[in-house]
Amino acid sequence: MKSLSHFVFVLPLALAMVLPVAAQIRKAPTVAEATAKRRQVDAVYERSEVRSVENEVSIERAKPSLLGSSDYLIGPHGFSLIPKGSVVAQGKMLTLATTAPTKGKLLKWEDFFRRHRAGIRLLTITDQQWMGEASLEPLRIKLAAAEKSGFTTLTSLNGDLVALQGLKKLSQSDS
Amino acid sequence: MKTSFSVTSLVLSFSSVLAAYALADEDWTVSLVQRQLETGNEHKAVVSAEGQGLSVAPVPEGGSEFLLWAVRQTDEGLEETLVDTEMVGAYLPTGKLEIQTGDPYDGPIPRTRIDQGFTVTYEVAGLLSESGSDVPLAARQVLLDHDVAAYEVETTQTSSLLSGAGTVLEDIYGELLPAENFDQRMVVSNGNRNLVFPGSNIPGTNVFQDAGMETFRLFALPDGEIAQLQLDEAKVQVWPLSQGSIVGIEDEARYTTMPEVTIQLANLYPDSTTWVQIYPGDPNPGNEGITLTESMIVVEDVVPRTTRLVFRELQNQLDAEGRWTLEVLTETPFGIEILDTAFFDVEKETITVRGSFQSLSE
Repeated sequence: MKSLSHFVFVLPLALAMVLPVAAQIRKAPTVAEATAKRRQVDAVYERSEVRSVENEVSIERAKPSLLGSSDYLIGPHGFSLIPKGSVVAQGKMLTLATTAPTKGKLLKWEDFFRRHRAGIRLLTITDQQWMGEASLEPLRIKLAAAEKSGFTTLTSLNGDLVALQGLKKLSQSDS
Repeated sequence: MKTSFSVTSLVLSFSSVLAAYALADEDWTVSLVQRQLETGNEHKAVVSAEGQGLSVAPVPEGGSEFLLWAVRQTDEGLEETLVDTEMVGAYLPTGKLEIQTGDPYDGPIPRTRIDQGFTVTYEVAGLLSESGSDVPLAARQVLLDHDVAAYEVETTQTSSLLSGAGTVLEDIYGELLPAENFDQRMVVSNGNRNLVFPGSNIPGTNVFQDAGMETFRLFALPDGEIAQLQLDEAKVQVWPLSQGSIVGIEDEARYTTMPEVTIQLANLYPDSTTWVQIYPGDPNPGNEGITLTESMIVVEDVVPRTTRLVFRELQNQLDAEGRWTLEVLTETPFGIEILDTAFFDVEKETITVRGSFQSLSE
């Protein structure tokens, strides 16, 4: 671990002579005293209202990653991060990648959309479809049309990009 | 530029506020990702670096996880930072964790010393009573998970921080080693509780060298299609005991000429002042003596420090025959402690009263 700062200094005599304070001075803890305080948890929990766990609960330790959970839409003017699965049809003007490009400028989605508008179409879904309260079936025809359109088509809700797991299944069932 | 962002969602009569966060660089693009817990559906909106508002996408009854991300492009590629997360759901319990130590340090992670106690405060709300047999387990209890990890340590010979004092063996603390599961408990009631730990739980057996991190997490348990959810996390950083050794003087020895005295100081606490004092008479803890010139070492750092002092003309401080005591003291947020003591007898030839003396720590 690198030290973020490094301040160690020796005070000059004048200041050094006045600093020792009359606070209570005690002997440093011995090894036995310090060791005796370590890992004493039973007494801690005896006084609390928590319960023991009979079988250890496994913990999911995967760290979330926006970069890892995104796709990358690449165009002549740069690239943008998009939710994985939000592209439902691929056009010729733009490239879809699963890893970050090493070249090109990262653009916010709004900028990317404005600069590549000629090659992009949005497939709008409703709040109810997003919530799972309405069927995605009405989108089946639009999906088929999008695939033939030659445009890169992305799903959108209220102007932002969304990825619907159900839409992927719908698309797979067609193929 | 100090920037911050917060979002409030008011759907199904609950709200979520993502904590404000400072991003020092305008190059960051800030995005708010909403992930539905039951379906995995994901909504992503680019948001301004500062502001607040209603979430654009509704929150379903099964709940949503909000993740506030900042991404920027550097010469090495893309860099991401998870600024904050928040869970929102109609039937999700909520949990908060906080750790207090005796060190007022206001860095990103609280810190303490291996022998010092600390308090973990947890607050859980939204748990349902166990009386209803139909109530799922996930709604009745949350998991309190406790991990511990040690810092990788390498002892190397380095130049003393003080010029002219030679080299010292210093513990250099590296990355955290993989965490080990230390303890798990179930919280079964709502409310605010304190867990008071008398000392550290990090791995190891050497109180003068062991350092590490303790991590506490609250989890909502899996329920049907909803995975295990982390509700909150709190960490505490643990540093070892400091060590001070007086080398060159033997207890109860008689000196007509004082030998060279070396003070070895190892793992001085990151917020500490350490000094050497001398006074006539037998050791008397609490006695206030004469502070040796240039012996005051102040550490204001994020890691412990190791150094040493060398005194070659100690006899200049001895103005009377008889018993003298030399003490090494350190003041930390936990109090003033004596790290080492040496006592010796002075015979007449040693006494040479002068106006000043020198040490190699200059």
